[in-house]
Amino acid sequence: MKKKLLVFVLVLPMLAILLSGCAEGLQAASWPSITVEGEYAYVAAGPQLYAVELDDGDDIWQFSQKSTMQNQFAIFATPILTPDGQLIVGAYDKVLYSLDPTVDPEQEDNINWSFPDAKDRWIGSVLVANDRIYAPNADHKLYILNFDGELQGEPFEADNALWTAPVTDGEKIYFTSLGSTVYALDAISAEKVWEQKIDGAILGGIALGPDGVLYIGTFSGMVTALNTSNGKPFWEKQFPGQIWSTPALSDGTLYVGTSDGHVYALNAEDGSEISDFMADSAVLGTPLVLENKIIFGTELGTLYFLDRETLEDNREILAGKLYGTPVLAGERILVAPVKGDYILLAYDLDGKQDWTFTPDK
Amino acid sequence: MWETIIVTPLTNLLLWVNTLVGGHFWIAIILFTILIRLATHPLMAKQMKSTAALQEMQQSKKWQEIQTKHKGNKEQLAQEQMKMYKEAGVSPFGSCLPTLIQLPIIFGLYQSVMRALSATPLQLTYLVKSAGTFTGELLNINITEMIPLNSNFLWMNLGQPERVTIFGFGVSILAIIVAITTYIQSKLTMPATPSANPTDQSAQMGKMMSLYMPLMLLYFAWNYASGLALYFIVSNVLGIVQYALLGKANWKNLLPKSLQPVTKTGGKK
Repeated sequence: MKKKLLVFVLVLPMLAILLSGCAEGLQAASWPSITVEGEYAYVAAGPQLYAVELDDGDDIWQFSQKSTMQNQFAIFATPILTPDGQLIVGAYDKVLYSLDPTVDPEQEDNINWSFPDAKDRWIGSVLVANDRIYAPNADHKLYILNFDGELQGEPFEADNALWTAPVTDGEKIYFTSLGSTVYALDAISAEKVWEQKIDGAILGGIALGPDGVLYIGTFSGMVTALNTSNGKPFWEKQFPGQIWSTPALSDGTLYVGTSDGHVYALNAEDGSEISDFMADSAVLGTPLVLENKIIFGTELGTLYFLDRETLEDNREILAGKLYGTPVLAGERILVAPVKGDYILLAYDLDGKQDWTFTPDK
Repeated sequence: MWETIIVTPLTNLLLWVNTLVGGHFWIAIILFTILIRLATHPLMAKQMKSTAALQEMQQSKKWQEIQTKHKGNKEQLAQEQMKMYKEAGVSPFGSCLPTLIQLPIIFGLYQSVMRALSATPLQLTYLVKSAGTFTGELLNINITEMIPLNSNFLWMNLGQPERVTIFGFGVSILAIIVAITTYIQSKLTMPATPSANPTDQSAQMGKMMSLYMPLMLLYFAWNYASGLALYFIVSNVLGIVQYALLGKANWKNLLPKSLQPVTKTGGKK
């Protein structure tokens, strides 16, 4: 009897393990994101946030917190630096952290403050503007905090989860919900100025044009240009593939990657198609647009360095999937693959690998 | 393999049901559970039959006699028991095998609920891939129109563990209901008359299960997404209804011992 009881007791945790993790994607995970500031890159890559030296890819510090059964700790939102030197990043344990990036958390506590009041995960990164932190959460709320982590008034409640970073033109804050709505709030009073429903869920953020236009891509494959003053659309353009990321805007041209492997260049004025490049698989991240090049990654792990004029490509094939957006760090391009051999890889602008980063144990 | 055979088809089935009910995911979970229960009904009926036959045999005089006779000789006792199983045409594993077959469905269901709710962008890529498979196309799943799924139900987000603050403590009402309904279900399946033999292992295991299972499911429901707790509750209620309709529910077991009428035979057949 005792033996049977023992077997029974041992079988239970096994069942729990099976239930919690035998299929891909069950553990809350996403793709890494990167911020570059000064000599360092900060990489939010799941259970750890890494500070990496840009010169040689050396590990500076790693930040992590303990997971609980209900709140798995993981960071995927892009870390953002405030003007007073705080590194603000939200995690999947529903806590928004302010870290001191100059302190190694292994030596001493580097948490300035934490904001634990949100009810869901922090998927999108925060916007720092007007001495405030505008923090979108998957619990549908936009929290506005001061630099001490104190809530400034009631959070604004949207119609669905907020997965992307807000943008601002100084007067208004613009952000999107997963439920197809674009919101504009007064930057100071946080009162709603307008809201606009568009076609399809919005997974990417907003590209803000210098001429008062918001550019948004949707899961239903539509790119739309909205008027910042009233939210009304200037134009709309439909594509067959889904759009997962923020369009990239450069010199009046809009670059959009789609799930069916296209990278389109559109005239930002009217949405007319300028060019169409076919990649080897889905392009979910925002293309990085430089003076002469367009750089983007694909689901099959190919990093494209595309000539902006001729669309001639130079490509590097990496292990893993490149869902995120490549980031420019001086003369280097940084990419962080999902399920790759490395957490972070650095390339020069011609596509030659410079260094790779794997964390010190 | 697991992904292709279990998780992807279940996810697409769940999405299909979700479309049928106008995008109300909580209704989809309930209907989906009913579908799964109907599909596994033959297994459950077989399990009930085997359990009843096993219980009947274990309460027989002959069974009790060989227990006493071969008390000191485990090998001989096992041989005699196997002989009795053979004679009665009953398999000692007949009652647990159908449960084991249902386990992958329970795991798959949990994973499909979590996938359908896609709480992160990466999870959404898995959902899109699921919808693009053969079963997704067969069921005409239009994932572009479905996203985001409405995961709200009453005060809950079905993709998150449920909590209600009572006197400053976070309590999961759903998890408590899961524990209660699991306890009721396991009580109803126990024989109305406890075994006369105090060393009857199966009776002791049954008793232990009726306490252990509610605690285990309470733990799961408390800590995992409330969509799973909703599945457990609906599944338990349907299980109770199934037992009642098949005439195998021993309602007397729910009464306190002092109020239970004394009977000589097992549960209602």
